[in-house]
Parts: sequence; structure tokens; C-alpha cells
Amino acid sequence: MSLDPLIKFSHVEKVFPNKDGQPRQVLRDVNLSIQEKSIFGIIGHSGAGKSTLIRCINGIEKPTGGTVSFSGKLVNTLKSSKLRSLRQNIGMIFQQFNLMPSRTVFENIMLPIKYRHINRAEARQKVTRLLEMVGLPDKASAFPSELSGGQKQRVAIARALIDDPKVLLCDEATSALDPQTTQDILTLLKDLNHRLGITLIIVTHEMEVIENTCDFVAVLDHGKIIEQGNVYSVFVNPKEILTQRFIATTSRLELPQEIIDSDLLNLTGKQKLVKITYLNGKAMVPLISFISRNFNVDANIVVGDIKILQQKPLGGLVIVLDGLESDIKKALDYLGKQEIRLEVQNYDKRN
Amino acid sequence: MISVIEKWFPNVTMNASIFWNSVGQTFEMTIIVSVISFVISLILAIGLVVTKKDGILSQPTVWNVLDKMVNLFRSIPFIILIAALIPLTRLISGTAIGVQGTIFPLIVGITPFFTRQIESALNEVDTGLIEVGQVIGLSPFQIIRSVYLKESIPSIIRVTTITLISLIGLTAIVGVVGGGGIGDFAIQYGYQQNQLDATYACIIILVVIVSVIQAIGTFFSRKLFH
Repeated sequence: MSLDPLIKFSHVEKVFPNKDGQPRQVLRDVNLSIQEKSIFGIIGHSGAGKSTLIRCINGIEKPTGGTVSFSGKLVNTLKSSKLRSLRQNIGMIFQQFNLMPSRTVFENIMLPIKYRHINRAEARQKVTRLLEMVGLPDKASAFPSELSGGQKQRVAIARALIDDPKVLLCDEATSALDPQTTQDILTLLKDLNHRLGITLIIVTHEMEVIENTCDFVAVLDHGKIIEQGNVYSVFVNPKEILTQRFIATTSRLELPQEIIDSDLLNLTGKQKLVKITYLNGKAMVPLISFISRNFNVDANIVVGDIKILQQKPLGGLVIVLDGLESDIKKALDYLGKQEIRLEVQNYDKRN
Repeated sequence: MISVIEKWFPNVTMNASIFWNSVGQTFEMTIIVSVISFVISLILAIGLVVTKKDGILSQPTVWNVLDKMVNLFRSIPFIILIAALIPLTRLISGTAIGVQGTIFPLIVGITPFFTRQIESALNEVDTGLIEVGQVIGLSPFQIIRSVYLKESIPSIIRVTTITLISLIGLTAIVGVVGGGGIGDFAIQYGYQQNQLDATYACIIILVVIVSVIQAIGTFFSRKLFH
């Protein structure tokens, strides 16, 4: 990380004046470094300040404290004409696509360069190339009202790319789309990152989007970044409760209380429900057979889940340990020393 | 056909040339006033939209002045406004009667209404689209032209239709103070000389004019809406 970051937030604060006299603080001491060509995710619940944060990058929102820099230039002090040329380096797509309804797909994509002295024929070719890149080669003369949600977002992506920006800001870009279309759009975005080296900044409330797409993640809660880092390390070892909750939404290791209560497991007092999460990609160690052989406990695997995140396996098991109390304790002691995260779950069975 | 008209509208037939001349005057007033007022209203409406609190050129003081001015003129009933404007009308038009004397008060009377109508049409443009204009680096002037105006063309046609119809109503009112046009004819012949057929002829011609304007407006507004 010796490289200078492309985008840097230092102690950024944003306070909105409120009509009722009570000012509303939306961003609190935000510090972020985003490297060129990376895919950086920002996750938070609605109202956490994600949209405000991402708009500080292209100067649509002005921080009330701290600084935001882009390629070494301070964004928050730029004059409006300088800001406009900066914005040509920063594409943006939105949840509601925001295509101009009265313009065709072609005209929508051309809009950012409409007022510039450009070679018309070259621009025309570029639009055609972009339409091919986003998978809509035959839609140039269609109006937005004739397109599906996914197609509209593809047009919006093409429009954002017409200026060959260094960065693409994605503000909840998949939140209005169905799961399959979401996947398609994320695949397209990742592909653009690989092919064009464009830096992606993805704001979302869905952890799956982060999991599928991002290299880095920052968790925003009430305007504060509570946790950030490499996606794999955050997923493997989330420190904050909110981060854990977000990750739980993508994990199949979370047993619903209904299953714990049901006769399916039929837990008795001496049994232990144990959740194991593999750390550092060591998913292949035969822990279960080892503890049952050496500590004379029965290990019943209830759920197992494994997926590949950034080329490393991520997952774990939920098991029920049965046997003598002392044997279970020994097995848990052994497991506690391994490179795994061990959680002995409480199962207050409700009768 | 002609004999039927003669039978039902004897007084109008007798004064046919005056009647058609009045219709012509109504068109003259409507066209001149609407063109001038459209330009002024468009500028004022754009001013109101861009200078409002979260507008693209936010200037709360300017907005306040514009807003209060429009409200002031909108709250004066037209018939009182005409009387109040007489000295100014004489100064500008040279006369306060006839078609020439009605243009100025008609502009002052319709422009605040027209401004509010266009303002609401411009405000219908999704704020997300305005944001796109900013995000892709357009200047405020380019946003006004390529987003606000371009995206609200169908709405502007719709509100212009509404305003034209209101304006025809106002051109009839100026007839009371000797302004000419269909209203003047209806008052002189229909009301003052108690020729009821003259009044009905005026109503019929006005219904026809309004229907045609509405039909044209609806046609273009639909055609341009995507």
C-alpha cells in the first residue's frame, strides 16, 4: 500500500442544516483510502450516509469538515468550472437509472459529450462500441420506456463510460433489480474493472453485492465507518456486531431459532451446538473425524457451507457434540486451539 | 344553411362583418399576448426553479423576490388590474382602449399565472435527472436546456394549452372596458342592446376556439411524450 490512493477521505464531516433548527450530522470523521483499479464497497443501512459519502467524491455534496482528494486534487475546494471537468473523470450510476425519458438510448449515451467539440463520427463509433460492451448492440434507437430495468442500467453504465472515466460510482445500482439481473450487472461491472482497469466504488445495503464483487469493504453506521478492510478478512473475522449481522445475511451457517427448537435436532442439556468458521482458508483440515476419534465424542454435522471469496475458501460447519461432559470439554479445548473461530451457541430451548 | 343562420341569428347576420372582425381581434390579442407572455413566463419560471433553496443556482433572496412578485400580481382580480394599470398602459401603448390598449394589461394579467404553470411543469422533472446533468459535468445553462426544458416539453405544451384557454377568457373581460374582441361584441350587442342571439353566437365561437386549442395541445403533448 505504498501507492498514493486515488481517492482519499480525511476526517470528513457532513452536517445538514435542518429546518427545525436541529442540525443533522450525516458523516462523522470518515477516513478512507481507495486505491486505483480496486473495487471498493461501502455497506450500510438506509440513512447511514452512504449516498452522501459517495457524492463527496464528485463534489455533488460538499463536506462541512475534513478533505476529499481525487488524484491528489482537493475536491471540496474546487471551483465549479474545475469541478465540472473533474466530473468527466468520474462516472456515476444510480438505483433509479436516471435515463432521460425523452431521449433515445443513443442520445442518452451522447449527452455527457453533447456540448463538447468532438468528432461526431468518432463519437458515434464510440457509442456503438459501448453498447456492444454492455450487451445492447441493437438498442441504440430505443427509448428508455421500452427497456427492462437491467437494460436501463446497462445504458446508464454506457453513458457513464463515454468519457473514459477513472472511477465509476455505483449508488445502490442493483437495488431495484431482481437477483438474476443483479448478478448480470455485477458481472458486467467486474468485467469492466478487469478490462478497463476502472476503479469501482459500490454503495449498497446488500452484503451479497460486497461478497460477489468487492476487494475492499467499509461498513458505515450512522455516518461513521465502524470497520473496513479486505473483504476476505472482514468476512472471516468481523469485529463489529453490525458487520456480523450483514455477513449473517449471506451465510447459511445461521440456524434459525425454529430449527434449534424443533424436534429435528432434539437437543438435550448435555449436548453442545457448536459453530466453526474456518480462518485463513484452512477448510481442508479433517477436524471432525479427529475429535470424534480422539475425544470419544459424537459430532453430528447439522449444516455446512463453503464458498470461494477472493480465491480463498470461506465457510464453516454447525455441529452438535454429544458425549461425556468432560470429553466434550476436551474436544472444545482442542478446537479452540485450531485456526478456526469457535462459537458455542446457546440454545435456550423454549418449551 | 345561410337561411337557417339568418333565422336563428338575425342580429349577428346584420352585423356579420363586425362579428368576424371581433373574432379576428380576439385571435390577434391572444396570439400577441401569448407569444410575449410565454417568453417572459419561461424566463421567470426558470428563474424560480433554479434559484429555489436546493436549485442548481440556489439564490434564496432572488427566489423570494420573484416568488412574492408573482404572488402579488396573481392576487389582483383582472378587472381591477386593468383599471389600476390604465396610466401605465397609456404610457406604454399610447392608449388604454382598443386592441392596442389591451395588450399590456393582458400580459400583466396572464404572465403570473403562466409563470406558475411553467414552473410546475419544470418542477415535474425528476430531481434524479437534474443530478445526472450535474454528475456528467453539464453547466447550469446546459442543464436548463438539455434537462429541464427538454424533459418538460410535453408538460409545457399541456400548461400552455391551459393558459391559452384562460387567456381567451381574459380577452373577453377586456371587452368590458372597450378592449375589442368577442367579449366586446357580446357586451355591446348581446348585453347592452339585449340581442340574445349575439351572446349565443359569441358562446358558440368561443367553445369552438377552445375545443380546437385543447385538441391541438393534447395531440402534441401526447405525441412528444415517451
